[in-house]
Amino acid sequence: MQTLTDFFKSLLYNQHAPLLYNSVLFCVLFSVLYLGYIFVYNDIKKRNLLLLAFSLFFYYKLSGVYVLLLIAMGTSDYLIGRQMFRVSTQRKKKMLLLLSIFINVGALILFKYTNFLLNTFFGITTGSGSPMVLDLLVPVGISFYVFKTLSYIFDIYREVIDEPETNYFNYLLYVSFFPNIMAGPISKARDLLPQFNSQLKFSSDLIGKAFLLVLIGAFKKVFIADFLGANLVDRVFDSPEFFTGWEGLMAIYGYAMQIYFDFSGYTDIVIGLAMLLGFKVNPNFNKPFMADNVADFWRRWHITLSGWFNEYVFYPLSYTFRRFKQFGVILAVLITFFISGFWHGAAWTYILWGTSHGLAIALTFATVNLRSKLAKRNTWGIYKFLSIFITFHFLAFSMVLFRAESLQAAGKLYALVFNHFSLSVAGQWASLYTKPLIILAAAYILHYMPLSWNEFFTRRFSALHWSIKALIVVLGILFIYQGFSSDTQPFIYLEFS
Amino acid sequence: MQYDEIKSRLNKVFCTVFKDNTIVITEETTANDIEKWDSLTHLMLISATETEFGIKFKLKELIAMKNVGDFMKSIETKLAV
Repeated sequence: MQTLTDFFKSLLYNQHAPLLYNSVLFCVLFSVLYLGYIFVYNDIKKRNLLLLAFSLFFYYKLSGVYVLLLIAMGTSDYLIGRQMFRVSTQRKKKMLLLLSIFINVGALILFKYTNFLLNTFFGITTGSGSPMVLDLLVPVGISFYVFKTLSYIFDIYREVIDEPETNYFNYLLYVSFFPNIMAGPISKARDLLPQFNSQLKFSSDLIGKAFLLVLIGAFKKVFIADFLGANLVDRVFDSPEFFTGWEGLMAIYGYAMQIYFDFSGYTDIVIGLAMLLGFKVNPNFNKPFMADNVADFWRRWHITLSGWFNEYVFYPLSYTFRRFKQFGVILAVLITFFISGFWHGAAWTYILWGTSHGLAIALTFATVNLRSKLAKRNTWGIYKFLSIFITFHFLAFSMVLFRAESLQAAGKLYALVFNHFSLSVAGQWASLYTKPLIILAAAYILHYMPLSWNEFFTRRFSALHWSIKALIVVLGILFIYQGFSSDTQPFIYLEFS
Repeated sequence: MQYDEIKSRLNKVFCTVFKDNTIVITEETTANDIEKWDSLTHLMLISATETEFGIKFKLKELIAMKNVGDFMKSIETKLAV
């Protein structure tokens, strides 16, 4: 009886125990949903209502009463979207667009940036911090669902969407769809909404792939990202004064892999869950550290976010500045990456991180012809290798700004690596940190191994008999469960709600 | 202006913007076919085309274009007005 009471209690919102994909409770609830889903997936109306109910419950478990904010914002853009098709003049359409931007960006600023803006304002005017700190919890995923719903309004305004969504519940499902509500991938309305209005196609091959993706995602999270975080990265980032430059460098290399395996693991789980339900969510990663310049990196890392910024911020800005030729494009890049940095978090570390990427892309753009000439002269691949090597180091070092608590903390780590570096401790370090070193090496091998290998393993898995697949999935779950510990970390990208 | 002349002048714009005299455009050409054509160089191309033909594109028109064929049709329509 007590156990049952505890279970029902666990269904209520608890600020300190949000429902995460890597929790046992989620596995139980998803299994219950899936059992019901099997009976209704052929009936579009019932299927969508079931998914909507689960999505809203899932969000309630994540953010409590803020589920009402999610519904309110979804409802306002549903109504604005419909109205945009009814009005006769371009001016009225523009007014509706501005209203939607005001509501969405206003909510984002209110919940995410108020304290930062107050601190900055009082810092400039009085030289001290803000006398008041507002006790505002950031609604989980607000940065992501605001982008989803804005993409719908932008696409209507730009006439990319031919007709408005007429089913309110389907639109609300698009905004609140539980697999990608927390941290993306950011699905555009034109990609996801039509799927909610269509019959789904299932096959054992698809289900097999979906399970494999979820397992791979959990494996990446538990055995690589969390392990590297706990055993290599955190200790150096938290107290750099106790470590040498070599250890600082290894922590930076470790963090690059930790954040990649954490976020791509999360994304694999999301894509896998959506696939289990019969939906396609766009991928977010394509071997990002294979990039040979920073612009290339942003076509491989958090692809749906960079695609969103490219389409709705950079492109209109560079269009506006086009008469300034190259300078106009560079200005548009810098503004876009400044906003992108600020979007990631209300702190100067994120703003500096975004701006540094903007500057690197501006440099890439300004040297496009020089680099093209160098690439043509080089026949042995040295240029390509050096480009990837230099780009990777820029990315890994800039990610310190992502992890550090403050600019001062980031400065300490940079100083550690550049002022206290000695190769002589490498051997001793390797003997002390053998396990993290093996995991780090495995992480790099997994990242850099050719895509054809991934495809080969997926094909071989798909070709197996269903009973063998099921056995592998069960063994995989047990194996991953063994890896869970009390200090299993929340997904890093949830910080960027 | 004849369609062929538009194509020939537009081809020269492509060669100048991408600094590559070997480029030969067709109606089906897209950004995937030209190495340096990415989101950064795209607006340089638009700006140079506007200067060459003395026309202005709207943002919506640019978004709707799927390939060079659409681009040329849009130029032709604007020149005919």
